[in-house]
Amino acid sequence: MNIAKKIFIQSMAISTAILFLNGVNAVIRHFAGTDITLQWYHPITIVLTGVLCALPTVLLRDEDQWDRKTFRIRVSLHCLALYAIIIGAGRLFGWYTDWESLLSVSIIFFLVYAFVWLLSHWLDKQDEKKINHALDTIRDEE
Amino acid sequence: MRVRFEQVDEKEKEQALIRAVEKTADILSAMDLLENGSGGIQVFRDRNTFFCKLTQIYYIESVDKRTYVYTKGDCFESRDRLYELEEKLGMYYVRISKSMIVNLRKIRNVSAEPGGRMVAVLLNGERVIISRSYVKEMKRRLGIQ
Repeated sequence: MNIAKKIFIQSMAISTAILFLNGVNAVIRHFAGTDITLQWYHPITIVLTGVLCALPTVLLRDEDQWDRKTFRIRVSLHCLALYAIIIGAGRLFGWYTDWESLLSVSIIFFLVYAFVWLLSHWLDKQDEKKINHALDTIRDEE
Repeated sequence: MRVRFEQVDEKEKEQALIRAVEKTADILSAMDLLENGSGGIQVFRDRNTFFCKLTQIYYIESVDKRTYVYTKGDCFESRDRLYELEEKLGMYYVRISKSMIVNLRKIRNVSAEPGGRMVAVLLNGERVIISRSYVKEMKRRLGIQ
């Protein structure tokens, strides 16, 4: 896939995911009795953060052609770059106000990042099983 | 044996079903003919020309604009480019990377690696990489949704 197209799709996906998480957070807080109010600039900063978070995708270009060591290094760099963007954007746009909320944002970020990779690998493993099963039916005998 | 022909409108819908008491030699050769065609490809090695049956080919690789055909224990060269061979070969030959076509019937098993690529172990023990972007086409060829 063209890298510009990939970055655009990821920008949309990340922005939607952040808006979704904020939406869920707002609903939970509403029923907990503490409504939150978005500032006028919050939606646009979310979209901007989505675009920024998509840029490190360049680090994962041609990821299926790397050896394991390169893969680990690039994914670690990608994770750290995303974390720096999220924390930087959060500070710049005033998404968190104290160390406690910074810590919770950090924990959520790393959990979500690990979850996405694990989910992706689990889906690949499901494909592996289906492909091996299909190959069993056509394999030559040698 | 009665043989019945039924016309379909798309290549993808083509299939043959053989109902028989047992797999005789005639039936096996009919299956081989239907699945792989009668053909093979012309290959070269040390200025000699050979005819390589499609059923013998494990994989085909393009390196520095030259095309190499690998069988169980041999390697030959082809004058065709990879995309030209892709059109000539049967349904069990599938592109697995920019530079490689593999015979699905020669794969022992595949295993998923982090990053979405897969490693295929062939019947002769060789390992080839299936790029992430070609896994979808491979699944389609194998009839996996």
